[in-house]
Amino acid sequence: MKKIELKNVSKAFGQVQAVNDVSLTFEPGKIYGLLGRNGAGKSTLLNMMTGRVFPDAGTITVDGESVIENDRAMGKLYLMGERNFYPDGMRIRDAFCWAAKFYPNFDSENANHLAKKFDLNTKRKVKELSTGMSTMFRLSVALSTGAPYIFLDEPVLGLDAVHRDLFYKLLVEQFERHPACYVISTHLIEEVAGLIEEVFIIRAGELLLRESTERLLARGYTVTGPVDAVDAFVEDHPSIGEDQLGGLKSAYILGSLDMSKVPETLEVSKLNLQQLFVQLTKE
Amino acid sequence: MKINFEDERPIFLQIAEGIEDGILVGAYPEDGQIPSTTEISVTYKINPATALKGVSRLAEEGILYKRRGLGMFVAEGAIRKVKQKRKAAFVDRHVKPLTREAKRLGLTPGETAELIERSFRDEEN
Amino acid sequence: MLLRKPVFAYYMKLMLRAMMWFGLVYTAIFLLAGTGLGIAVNIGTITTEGGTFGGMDAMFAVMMFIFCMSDFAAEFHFLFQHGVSRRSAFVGFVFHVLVVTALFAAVLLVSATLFGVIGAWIGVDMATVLFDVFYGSWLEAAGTFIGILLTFLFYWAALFMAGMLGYLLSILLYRLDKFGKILLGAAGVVLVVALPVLNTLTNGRIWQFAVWLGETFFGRGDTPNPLNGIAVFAAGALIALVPSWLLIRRVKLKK
Repeated sequence: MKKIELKNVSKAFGQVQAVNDVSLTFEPGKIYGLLGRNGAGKSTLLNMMTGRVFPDAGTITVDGESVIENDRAMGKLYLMGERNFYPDGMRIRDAFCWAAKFYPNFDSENANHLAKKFDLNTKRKVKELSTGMSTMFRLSVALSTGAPYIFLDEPVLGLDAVHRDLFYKLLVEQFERHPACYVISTHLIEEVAGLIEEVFIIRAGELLLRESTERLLARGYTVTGPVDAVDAFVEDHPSIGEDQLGGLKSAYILGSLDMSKVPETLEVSKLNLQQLFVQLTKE
Repeated sequence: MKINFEDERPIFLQIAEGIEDGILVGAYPEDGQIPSTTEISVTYKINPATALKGVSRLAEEGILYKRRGLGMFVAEGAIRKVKQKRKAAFVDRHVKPLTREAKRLGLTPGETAELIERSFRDEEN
Repeated sequence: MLLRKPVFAYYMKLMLRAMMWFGLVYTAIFLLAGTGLGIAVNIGTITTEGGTFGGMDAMFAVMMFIFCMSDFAAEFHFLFQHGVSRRSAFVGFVFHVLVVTALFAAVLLVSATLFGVIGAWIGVDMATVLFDVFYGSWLEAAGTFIGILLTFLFYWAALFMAGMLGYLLSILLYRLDKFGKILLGAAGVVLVVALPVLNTLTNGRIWQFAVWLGETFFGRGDTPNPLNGIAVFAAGALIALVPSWLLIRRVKLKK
């Protein structure tokens, strides 16, 4: 069974427990969303999955093999991280050449096609690119590696709205051509809500929630109305968060909605993914 | 062409209804081809599996059919089927929210009906 | 699969580029200074009855050390980005140094012979290298083939050890934090400054000890055997290799 499996993985940096007993599975042919606040442990998880950081406990396997110091397993993964690991002086087209040498399934034509779409001059040096262009260059590489598992950590960092839009479209096209496993970790949740099939929410180093996007969105709703009415409703339907503006209160609820149980004084609306995320992960 | 994530209908249903709308207004004529799932997913920036689910649902209901190697096409009689479907959902979807709001405003059924009739007349002009 | 071709190719590209520049500049200097003007250029670190050309081998070793000491982070991070394990990065590096040093040992051998011929022709002693200084008498007694082979091995081992020492230093610098780096730098400075001072204070005993060490490494007696030197250099390389590996195998990615 081809998949990446994390079992009871933990990692501490000094006194800070960055990841605490997390178990996850990623399968090819799906687009996953790895969501969490800053410092929640997403990057640590991604770094452990790609063999860059060693876990303190637990196992990480790629298609059954441990990923630790294993070239074959590591060769199936590609992490586009926030950092630019290219040496000074290397040009974009050289970077593409080297990627092709390290990843046998690298699609150079696609990489150049993406660079063109992003308006990148492949003769330019990687280190001289602006934040946005550097992201677009690294996306061009990531989307062309042909690896079965591709991780994108903040893939739209520094991109303006037009380029973000372009990236999502290119991602869908690439996914159709090459249905690998894509894991996207991003703060712009609403923009990827339609793309991701399954959501993992990490909070304070732990896996808070794991659900298909469709089911999760179906389970979130808001009731708004007079304070008393809302409070009465919340007694039977526990809320994950509440807001109040004077005498008007809103309660955010995670559960299946039964309209017949909702009194007339309360207004119901759906929660979108970002709102769900905020309510679930705020203090 | 936008997906509303706050809508209580899941995304794949919104896709299906978007196609139905297209059929109703004549953008997708009967026996004509509809856009591929790739085109749909790229345009809406959604997961292709979701687009496929929406299209498959319509195929199950006989509104679309598949021509091997070519893609999905609008079935004969699709317009009639879509209208039937919408009529069945009309009460839940549109009438009930209308009456709820009308009640909140203190309108009588008679007053509400008059407003509806007036709206019909306005649309015709 | 212990040795990954792209890793090897990557290191080779970096190294060869650097070495090429070094080679060009160095040869130019020597050709100019050594031949054209007949000026005695002693760039050697050992002043014995060497000739005007005694420094080439030492220079090569120093350069090898410096090139291998280059920015560990840049190369390491790049390989990491491309899914290379620490082990493969290490093995690839060591192997490429083996290849490069073999290449340059051959270059040294060839140029020594070449300059010997040129020197004999002009009448200037140009080709006395370190090897001759210690093993000249042995060389005369040994056959040509053995002579060439052992000269080659001697230089190969010496350059390899120089490279491995440089590599060890580069890894140390990567792993040490700011405080550690300052400590290391200070230790180096202290050594360079303190040793000559100590030497004067002890009436040259430090230098005597160094000479004694050198003679032990390179072999004693009337006709010291180059196998001595080869063994010492090889052992030195190993001594540098082991801690390098231990430092690399669990190294953390630095910010």
